[in-house]
Amino acid sequence: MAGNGGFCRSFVELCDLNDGFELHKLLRTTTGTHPTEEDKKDSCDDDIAAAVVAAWSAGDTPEGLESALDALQKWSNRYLDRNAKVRWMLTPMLWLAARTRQLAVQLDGSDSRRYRERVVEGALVICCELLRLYSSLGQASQCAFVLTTVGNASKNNAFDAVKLPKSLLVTLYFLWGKHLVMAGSIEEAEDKLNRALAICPLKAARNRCQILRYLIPCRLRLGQYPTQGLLKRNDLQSLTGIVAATATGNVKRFSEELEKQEDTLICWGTYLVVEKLKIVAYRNLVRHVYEIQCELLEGAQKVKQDLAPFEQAFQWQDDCTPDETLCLLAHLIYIGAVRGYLSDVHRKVVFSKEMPFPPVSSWSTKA
Amino acid sequence: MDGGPIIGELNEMCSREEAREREMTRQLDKFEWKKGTDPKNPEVDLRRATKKYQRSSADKAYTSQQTRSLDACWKTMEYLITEILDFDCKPKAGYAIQAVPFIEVYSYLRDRTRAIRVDLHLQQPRSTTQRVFVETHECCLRFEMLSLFLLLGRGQKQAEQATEKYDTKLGLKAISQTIEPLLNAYQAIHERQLAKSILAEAMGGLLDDDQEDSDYTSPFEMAARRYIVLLLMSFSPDAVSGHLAKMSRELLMHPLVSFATEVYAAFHTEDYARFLRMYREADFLTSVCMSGVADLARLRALWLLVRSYPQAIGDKISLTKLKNILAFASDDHAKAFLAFHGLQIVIDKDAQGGANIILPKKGTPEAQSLTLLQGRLPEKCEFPKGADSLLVAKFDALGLSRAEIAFGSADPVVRRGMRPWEAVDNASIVHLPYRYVPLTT
Repeated sequence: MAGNGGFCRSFVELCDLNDGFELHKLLRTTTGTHPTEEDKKDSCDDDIAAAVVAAWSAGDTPEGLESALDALQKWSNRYLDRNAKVRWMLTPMLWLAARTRQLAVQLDGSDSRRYRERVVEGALVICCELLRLYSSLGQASQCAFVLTTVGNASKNNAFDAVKLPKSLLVTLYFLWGKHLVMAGSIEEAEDKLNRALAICPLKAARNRCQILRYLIPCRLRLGQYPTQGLLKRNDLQSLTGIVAATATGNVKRFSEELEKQEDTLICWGTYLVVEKLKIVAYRNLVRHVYEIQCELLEGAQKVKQDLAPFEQAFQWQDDCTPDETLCLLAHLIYIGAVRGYLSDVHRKVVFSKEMPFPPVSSWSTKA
Repeated sequence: MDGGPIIGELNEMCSREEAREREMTRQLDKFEWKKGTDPKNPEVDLRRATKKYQRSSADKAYTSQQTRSLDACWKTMEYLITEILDFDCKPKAGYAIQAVPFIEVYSYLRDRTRAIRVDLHLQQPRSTTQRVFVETHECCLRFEMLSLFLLLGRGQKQAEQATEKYDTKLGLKAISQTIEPLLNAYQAIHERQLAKSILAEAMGGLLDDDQEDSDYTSPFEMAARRYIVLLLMSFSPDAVSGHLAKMSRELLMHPLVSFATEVYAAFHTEDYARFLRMYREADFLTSVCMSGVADLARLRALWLLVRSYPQAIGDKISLTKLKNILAFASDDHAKAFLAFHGLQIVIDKDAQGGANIILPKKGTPEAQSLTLLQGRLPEKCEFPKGADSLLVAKFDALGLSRAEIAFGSADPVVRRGMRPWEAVDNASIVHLPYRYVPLTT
């Protein structure tokens, strides 16, 4: 309901007078009512007034929400473009923003499964863009909220992954997996990235390469080593040295390769993930020293070995002091990479008689 | 306002109008009082007044007359760092006050240095690539880092007497407000030099001589970048990856910066012994940057060690060994930390360091009450913040004044022989020319 003349005319007049309070009152009259014929016929030169009238006419419908959003956005733009005297615009802005939110909540609560199904793909596209945006802004913690919502929606059968377009699924799983890699959830990351790779077409070489950049370090952390062919086919030969060094326990070579690839890995965002492979290299180094010592020792000495050979090996391979060696061995024992214990007073490392070196997959998630 | 960029015209540390106004409204700081003035109605000493920080608002207009020139900005910076920064331990004659705790010195300097940065920012983009801009921000960064050390550790006694308390968050906020424009300035200078080199090549090597005077490459840039990475690691770890990803290969490969990357990697791959070794061996300011997570690294290293000993029979470890692993510089600090976390220390003159730390046998009351044997890897360290003996030792060993530290004399440099293409020895770094002339009393 408007004053003398239609809604639009009143709207324009109040804007010219910079009367935010009266304008707010005018906008409130549109809630819970319908526009009169005069309001509808009133010619709207003002695009914001026209959008408000359109929302008013459409009522509590998706079309009404679209128009309300349009009005809010245009009002916000007008507010930002003005250089002076803008305070009066805040009161109407409060109403426009609140109205939009109320409509959205109302429509969201309504039982409209068909509506949800129709928009879920668009929502997932927006989610993917949000993930990319947060990642580039360095706000990785914000990604968790988005992914939790997607995960809950998936569990509640809000969407069926099988029916979604493959390009969307690949993107979603890739970004999801990438986030999990950064968060250190290696097993979940490997699952998501595997799915992305499985769906990604073979001819999309660049995309497959991107997925593998994150998947290969995950698999390495789980004790799965890629073939040379796989690395070559996907233009990932730069990882060959790191893979070989990890597998053989050559910590020195690992450090050299990591330094060579440092800027590339930082650029990809996988530097920390690959750096964590060092613990696998250490574990393999310890195993080599253990096996060599077993050949030289007899009986109970095989499992109760002196710390000195390990200190020498670590010093040679990574310039570690004896104290650092002790701490690294303690770390390996804590995460379950080595089963045993250390005795500083006796200067011994005592290995378990059964499986002193459990498989990588059994402890890698703790590293 | 004509809408054009501001060029500061004020050649003093503070305009007379502002000084008088603050005198009338009693907004003068103690360091600006005339000697012998009545504290209830203080008069301003115009030679010592410095422009106060004023928050920007929608109706505030900045004018060239009220904005300090670049030279005046640097003059103010030099004055504050040289005269005020160590006032708590070296009061100067000629001031109305003499006994001041460092927290009040810090509070004053934080405000006034922020005002200087505002004056510099108002004159952007012209000021961005100027030496004063870069040096001022580097100085502010070092000042905040030094204050972090002085207030969280050294100032215990004074803190009890002071009316204000140091809020780490405010200090970190000041640091973040300094870092961003500093990084932008470095970037702008590099881009400008790149553009000039391309232009020079196109012109056959001929350049306007006047242009060369305004060129400035900070010799402290790499040290500053190292500090920034480590500060982010300690106080805003989520931002490190993104920050590193924006750096070029040349920057990442520089020894000063790659050190920071290695520290970050050591901490986040749980190689705490390596982290603590680097903490122990680093220069003073680098260690200050790492100190935010140093206690946590110590606790986690200790926790891992305690988890790996033979619990069925118990074990012991010498004080010297633990002190070294955990990067303590004094026995007292080490003992306090270990005792706080429930470990028993037994005097044994045959042990290294004269004492052993007992790792209790399983089933004993000591083992049952030892929190290090329970739960998961600690997420934070509750050991009270105080003087870190390692930082104190490094500071004392420096033998530099606070002003010298703030001006860059303690910054790490690349030693000749580290990498051939990066070798720069100390002599070739031009330290800040002290243009400041002390005030006569």
